[in-house]
Amino acid sequence: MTYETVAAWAGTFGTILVGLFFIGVLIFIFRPGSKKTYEELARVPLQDDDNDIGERKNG
Amino acid sequence: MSLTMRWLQMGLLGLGAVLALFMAANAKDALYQFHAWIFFAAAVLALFFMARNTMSGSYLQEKDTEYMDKVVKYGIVATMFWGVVGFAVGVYVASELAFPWLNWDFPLTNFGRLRPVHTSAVIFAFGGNALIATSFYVVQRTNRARLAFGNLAWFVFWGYQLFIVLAATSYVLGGSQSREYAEPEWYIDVWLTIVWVAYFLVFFGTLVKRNVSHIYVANWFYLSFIVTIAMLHLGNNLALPVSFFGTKSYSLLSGAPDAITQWWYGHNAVGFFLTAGFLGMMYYFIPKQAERPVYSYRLSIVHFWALIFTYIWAGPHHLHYTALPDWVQTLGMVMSVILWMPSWGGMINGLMTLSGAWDKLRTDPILRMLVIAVAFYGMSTFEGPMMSIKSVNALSHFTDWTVGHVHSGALGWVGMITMGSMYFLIARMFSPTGRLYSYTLVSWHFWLATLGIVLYAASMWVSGIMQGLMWREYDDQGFLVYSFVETVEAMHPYYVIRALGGGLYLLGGIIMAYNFYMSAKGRVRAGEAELAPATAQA
Repeated sequence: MTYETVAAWAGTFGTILVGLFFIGVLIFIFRPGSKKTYEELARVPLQDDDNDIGERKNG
Repeated sequence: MSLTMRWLQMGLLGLGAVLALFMAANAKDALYQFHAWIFFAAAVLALFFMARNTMSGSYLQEKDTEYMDKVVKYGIVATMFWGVVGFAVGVYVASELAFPWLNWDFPLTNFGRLRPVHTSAVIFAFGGNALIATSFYVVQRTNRARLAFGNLAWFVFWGYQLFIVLAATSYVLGGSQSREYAEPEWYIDVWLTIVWVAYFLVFFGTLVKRNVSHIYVANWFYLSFIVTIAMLHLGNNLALPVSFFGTKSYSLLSGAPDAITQWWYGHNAVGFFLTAGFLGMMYYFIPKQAERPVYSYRLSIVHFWALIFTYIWAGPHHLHYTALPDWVQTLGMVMSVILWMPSWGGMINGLMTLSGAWDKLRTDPILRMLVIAVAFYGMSTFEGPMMSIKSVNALSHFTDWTVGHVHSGALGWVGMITMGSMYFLIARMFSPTGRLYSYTLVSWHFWLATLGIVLYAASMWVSGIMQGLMWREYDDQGFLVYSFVETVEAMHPYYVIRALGGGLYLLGGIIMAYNFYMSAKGRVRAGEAELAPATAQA
């Protein structure tokens, strides 16, 4: 594996793969019906009481 | 944890002590020998305390149904201590620049040796301890699990303090491999690698044994910080020691590849140590202190992936107009400009978390601190990409403008988000009353620190741009108008203002230490008792 092959790969397929991954992330987070999930996840820091270790009750 | 396990750990410490003795006996130079003795003393001390705990049986009281908070508390004390030390050294070296006689013509107090003490103390000792302590706190709370691997978290804490002591003593005694923010020589790097692997194991192990299905976004930022720093540390410190019993080593790379490796490391230390890690803090402590959910969890996911994909490419902007290939410089510039988007996306997410709770800024100085941190994050991540544009960089590079930029990020973003989070944790974990000794003093700290940053950044803008313009001033014959020393002379007043700004910031830190001490004693400042605690229990 020479420098040239790595550079060529990174400049073409690598870029496309990274771009596709990012678009994939966007599609995934805006998937239908996920609004409620993310609203719950946004509340995670508010749910822990100081010594409440173990299974979370909601969310 | 079983008794056998403890015997095993003590055995390892004993072996470490023997190895340190062996290193000391064969040492080829004084610094190496001195450090071998520090290693030896650390191993013996650790062995002593472990044996004492084992005999008293106090470790038997530790239960898996409780969070491991003592190591977090130690981390907070260490953060506070190293913070004040780091700020004080910073003020001193800033004064040396303004008044060179403060160098005292003495190697130990020379600017060249004290500067890395300042940078390492604030970045790695203050920032690093804050990251380790808060990551241990957040990973336990958001995953509802005790830290994994028992005593390993203690090894991480004390091992990291040992690294700091070795690094700092090494600088003042003249040991350095001359790589910015990675000055420690090879054996200290090996030690940090061991500590960092242990840190990763504790953090990742806790994620594995979590009691919730989803891993909260703050943990992603912390994890990316831990993993990337491991990769950067190994890549940038590829060096061959002259002897296994001596300090000196040589880098495996040379020339442009060596330079770009250094700045791949250097800029990602900014991106993953000083940004991603502290964003983990932002995503936990701002919702907590504001008692509001994260503005957009979706945005936090986009923020994360966009930030880590982009930051890793930005390093070459430190090497514009050098022997580095042109396309690499352009790549670094373009990626830095793209960074505007994830940075500002994250800033908006942090600030908008206050929607519905903006009124709290009026009454809660801790929240004010956390929020101004995010505002400074926005300002310095606007300034940075601008400075990475080649034509701007032609003016700004090697001038004080860079120094001012770094400090608006470090004092404003890193410092303020850390101190806000520390106040939150002090009230929760140290104070028997559940509140701080004084919220008025937090306000004082806030304004002193903010004013200090304004003086610092403004004086460095003026000084830096002036310096850059003087360097490139030609007369009609094509000769340079100013000699270098004339630019130095012109900068003197700004250096004095900068030292003053740093002094105000240090004063804020000292006030915080006092407030911390009084809070831990359970005292409440006279006349403040009627104020409701700002950290209401959620």
